[in-house]
Amino acid sequence: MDITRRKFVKASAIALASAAAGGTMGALSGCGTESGAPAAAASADAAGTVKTVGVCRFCGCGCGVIVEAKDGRLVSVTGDPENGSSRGLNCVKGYYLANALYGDDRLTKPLIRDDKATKGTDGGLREATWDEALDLVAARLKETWKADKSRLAFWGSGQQPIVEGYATAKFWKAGLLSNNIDPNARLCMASAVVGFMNIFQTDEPAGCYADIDETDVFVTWGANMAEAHPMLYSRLTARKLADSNVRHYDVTTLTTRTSASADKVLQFAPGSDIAIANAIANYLIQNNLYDREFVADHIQFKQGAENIGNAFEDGYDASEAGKTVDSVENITFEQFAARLAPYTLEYAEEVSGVPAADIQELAEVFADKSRKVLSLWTMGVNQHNRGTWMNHCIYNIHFLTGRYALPGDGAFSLTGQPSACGTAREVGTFSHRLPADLLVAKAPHRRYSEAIWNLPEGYLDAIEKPGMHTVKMFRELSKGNVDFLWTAHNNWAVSMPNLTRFLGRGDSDKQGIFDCFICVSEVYPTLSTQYADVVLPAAMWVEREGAFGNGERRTAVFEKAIDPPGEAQWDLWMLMEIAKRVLEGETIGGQDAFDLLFGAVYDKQAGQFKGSQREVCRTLWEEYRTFSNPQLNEKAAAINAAEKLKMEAKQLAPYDLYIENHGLTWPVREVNGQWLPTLWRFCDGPQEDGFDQLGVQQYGEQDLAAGVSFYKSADRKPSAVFRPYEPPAEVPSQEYPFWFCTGRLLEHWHTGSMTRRVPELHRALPSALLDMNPADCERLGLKDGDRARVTSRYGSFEITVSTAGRTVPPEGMAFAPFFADETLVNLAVQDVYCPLSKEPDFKKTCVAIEKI
Amino acid sequence: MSDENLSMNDEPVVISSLVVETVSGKTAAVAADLAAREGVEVHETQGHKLVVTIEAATTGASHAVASGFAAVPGVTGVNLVYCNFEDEFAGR
Repeated sequence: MDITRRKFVKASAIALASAAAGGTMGALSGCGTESGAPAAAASADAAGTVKTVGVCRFCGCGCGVIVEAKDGRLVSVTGDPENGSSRGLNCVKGYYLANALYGDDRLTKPLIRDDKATKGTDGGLREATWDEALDLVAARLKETWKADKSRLAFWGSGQQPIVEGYATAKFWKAGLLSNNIDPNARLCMASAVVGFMNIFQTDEPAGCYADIDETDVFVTWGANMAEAHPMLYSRLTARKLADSNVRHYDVTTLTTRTSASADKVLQFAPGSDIAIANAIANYLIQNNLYDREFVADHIQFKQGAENIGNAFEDGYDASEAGKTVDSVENITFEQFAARLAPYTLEYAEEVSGVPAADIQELAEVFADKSRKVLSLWTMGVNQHNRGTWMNHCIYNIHFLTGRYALPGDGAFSLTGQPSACGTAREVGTFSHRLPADLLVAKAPHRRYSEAIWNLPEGYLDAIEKPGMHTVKMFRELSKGNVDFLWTAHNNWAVSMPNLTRFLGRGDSDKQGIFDCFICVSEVYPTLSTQYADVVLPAAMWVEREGAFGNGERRTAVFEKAIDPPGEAQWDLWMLMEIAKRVLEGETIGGQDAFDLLFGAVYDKQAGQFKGSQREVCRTLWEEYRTFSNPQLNEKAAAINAAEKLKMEAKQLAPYDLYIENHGLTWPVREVNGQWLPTLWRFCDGPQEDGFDQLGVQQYGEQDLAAGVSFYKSADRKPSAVFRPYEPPAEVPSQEYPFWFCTGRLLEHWHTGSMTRRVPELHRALPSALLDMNPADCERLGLKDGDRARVTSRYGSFEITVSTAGRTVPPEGMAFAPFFADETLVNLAVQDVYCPLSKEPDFKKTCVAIEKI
Repeated sequence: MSDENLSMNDEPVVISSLVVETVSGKTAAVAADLAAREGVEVHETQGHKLVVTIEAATTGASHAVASGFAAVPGVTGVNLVYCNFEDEFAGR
């Protein structure tokens, strides 16, 4: 770098950091705007570099970045000060965003496995042409589809960009008439989703990240934000620093880095969080500390099916208990209070081990209306055999105290993936969903989707029954009941629970993984590609255009900055090429099936898109946007009005506005030609300040308690549902005396397929360690660095023991992250799931630990 | 910025900038500690936040320096804002 360039780069660096800190040096650099932000999207500077707008590829925070490319390579990454989620900041993984693209072993050619016996090994894949690979995948998919479409499946992801997720769901649901499509988001936030739908009849958080800056008390429930959501945790600690009266209560089963900022840690026995939450709710009612006005104006009360058992068996969903888990009935407030009455502080202490005085203190924090309280939770709540119930219990407390949908006063389930909300949930890549919260099981929802997709009326009745959810998909695969599986943007062979069964390494179900034809779209070799019959090399992150939707309802576009390496291709191109082959000769309502579904963006004869990536994304977005803008489609508008679907309540803006604005939070309302985002959903107030003024005016009722109106809920009243404490699926025994908990740590995102390619991140956290309590180690004769075998009734793995790890488990518990495929902790993790959400409980497997 | 800091212009350099958050009352002490580290400059103090740049030979070296900030007493947050690594890739 010559001295002039170096001066320029350094001045830019200072200016950008100053702007992010709210400082005064933002005008130092010639490359900055007045705010210190880099200039507009896709701009070139004198040195020949091109800047594009992007979003971080990793966790669910959705941090904005400006990406700079020169000569076809990325040369800088900058926190985007104009992105409202991150305001210019990135966590340390931001250093390596670009490096994640440049691992030495990027997949650059299609690969085919000729001998299934080589599955599970390093070898057996040979290079192929795209035509050969696509022909093979399409032939196997079509063969399965024609023979028995219950035996095909697609497993997607909360990392799949929005328009690709939309197109995949459309191909699967409308093209193949199959609901056997589910995302890996089933593993991380399905419990939050079912909670939202049960309680609010809409799948969305009411709050936003700005709540972190405005609250007075943080309550983290089963959440290690310091490792898993670093940018948001940075905002939490900044808020604490800014005001010495701000408090943080960490409700957790083990001490983590997040506990470091807590004023009090409530460490509870696994699974007993429901008893604690119910005790808080009971205390509020018994002591007349609840908000009567809020409850009267806004809340209805219910109870549901109880003693629902656990999903150990493959047939659980079809069992009597499994079929009735969703049932609820209305009860009075008095009945609700009576159900809570057994949950005294003393009972909660007995079940959870948390001192009654600490639970009372937290209850009184919720009762103190002079201060705002924000609950934040992640996988400890969602990956829980009663995950949906625990979501209910947290909302119950917030409803009783009138703390929901208000700035700084709220309850927020944080997402773990960059587009778990935008794609898995909003687009509807779940086995029971259609786009925009619509459900396959509801006839008006199918009619609405048919209108937008220009399908004959009644065409989607063939998919009124939900398909296989994720665990069922892999259980059936292991039994030999899935003949075709396509996976993308995930690494199921590492991230799924009960891998001993699913990878055919147990005593039974050994053949399914070998017999099933598996296509894996990937950017690097992974354990999943070792089980693939075909590997399709994918373009990664800013090698193509895409969009993510993060945890605060913010949709943000990442522009294409560079070309993918070798023959790697955009996932959307793969989808089009396979769809055109499978749908060859098929018609829908007398029209060519492929052209009806995708003719607007793809010329199947020419084998190419109709326009640039920008134009393709815009066209698909505008079609998808019609779901939330029914006025764009006359037939849809009529159904929306007749069925009172309120589809425009989740209104999305035209595509290009997301680029111009560096992301927008939905609903985005058109006011006098301007599109205004919403930060605080259901909260009345000026739309231009981020409140939901237009939604409340159109559908809700003004001047109710707290100035909120839950207009998407039945009778405009969300449900407080009583949920009892029921014990974990399995509790420690003489044979399996320890709890085993798994999760993420800072350096490695999910299964490490990207972050482990970055040498610095790999060096920082080279292997998965088993964090143990020193007393347990002493009893077992283990010391730091020893190898141990961890065994459950599902399987076993070997791992190195540590008492100096990132987490400090209590006696009787151990923790290990799941990123390391050489350790593969999920060989031993149970696949028991929440009966309502079907999300597995990764936190409470019972294991034996022995020195080896 | 002094020209002295730019004298090694023929060697690869990764330039990054960060916002370092500190406990109130320890901001000046943290600033002094960071400024004494090789390749580190503190440019501005905004309340409890410091505007810092790091110049190092590689992204990994920059990361190592930044990671070291977390252990400085009084540091509560290390946020990356900008990282330019064009020299590093040019050298590949």
